[in-house]
Amino acid sequence: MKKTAQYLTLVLCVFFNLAAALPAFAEEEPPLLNLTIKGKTLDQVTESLINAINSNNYSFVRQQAIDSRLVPTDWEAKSVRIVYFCNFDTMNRALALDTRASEFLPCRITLIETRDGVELMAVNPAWVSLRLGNYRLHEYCVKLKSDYQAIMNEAAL
Amino acid sequence: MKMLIGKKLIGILLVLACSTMAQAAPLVAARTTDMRDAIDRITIAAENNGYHLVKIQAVDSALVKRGFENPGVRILFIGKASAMEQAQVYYPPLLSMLPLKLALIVRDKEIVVTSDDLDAWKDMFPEPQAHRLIDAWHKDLEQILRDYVER
Repeated sequence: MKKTAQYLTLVLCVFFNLAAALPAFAEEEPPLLNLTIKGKTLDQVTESLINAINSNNYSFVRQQAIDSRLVPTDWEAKSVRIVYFCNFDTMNRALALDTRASEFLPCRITLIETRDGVELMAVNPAWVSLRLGNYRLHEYCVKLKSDYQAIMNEAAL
Repeated sequence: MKMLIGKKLIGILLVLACSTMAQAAPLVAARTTDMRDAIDRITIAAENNGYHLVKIQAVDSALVKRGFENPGVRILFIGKASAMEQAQVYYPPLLSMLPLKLALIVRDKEIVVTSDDLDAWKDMFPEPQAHRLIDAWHKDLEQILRDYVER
């Protein structure tokens, strides 16, 4: 009886420590993936980003102004754009593991034109998956994160 | 004595566990309906709260078309022009989170709607000007999901 209680306490310790450690792990992943591309226009970066998406085995879905369909087309923001893309196989596997994967699907990168160049921003899927606490999903998200980085870096070339 | 220490230890662990489990979570609402009706209801609820439907991402049919299993998930993007302007003026990194996203998930005879976890965004963007905007969007989403369930 006493041994059972000790064993149970040990199991609870491990479980609670793991649960409590999740946010700490999350702090190890940056929430955003950023890259500034200097000396290029928004149109040039959009084009190179779409090429990078295709060459990294993802499908380009669409691009739109940040305020698309919220204001008349002529009034749309010229300096902020969103590019959507996805890999259907990865999306299928991620959703099969956990429907909360919809939080980072489809993939999107926001482009903001500044005086210095164009800033690329995306939510880090590995940060999201750590917060969700699903380690199997996290494996996919770590790969997804490195794909985001590869795409962003290729767009900067 | 040992028993007392053991009980205390378990008590402390339970408190720790509860505080961990009480972390922020996305907003969730569910009602018995089908996907088409759920999209209509969310669209109307969004419009009633000053938001517009930007895009329906039919993840389910896109995957089925390519031979995958139907995950029963659709993603809706909703937004309002003033939210975009405010983000651009007061805190541009927040633009990476817009337009706001809602996931519609089939659960038996219900359609469950979940938002992104806006409380987690506060960890992402700790500055007060970001929090003011996130809190306002959070309230809007709460009302939209309430309307989805109640109307």
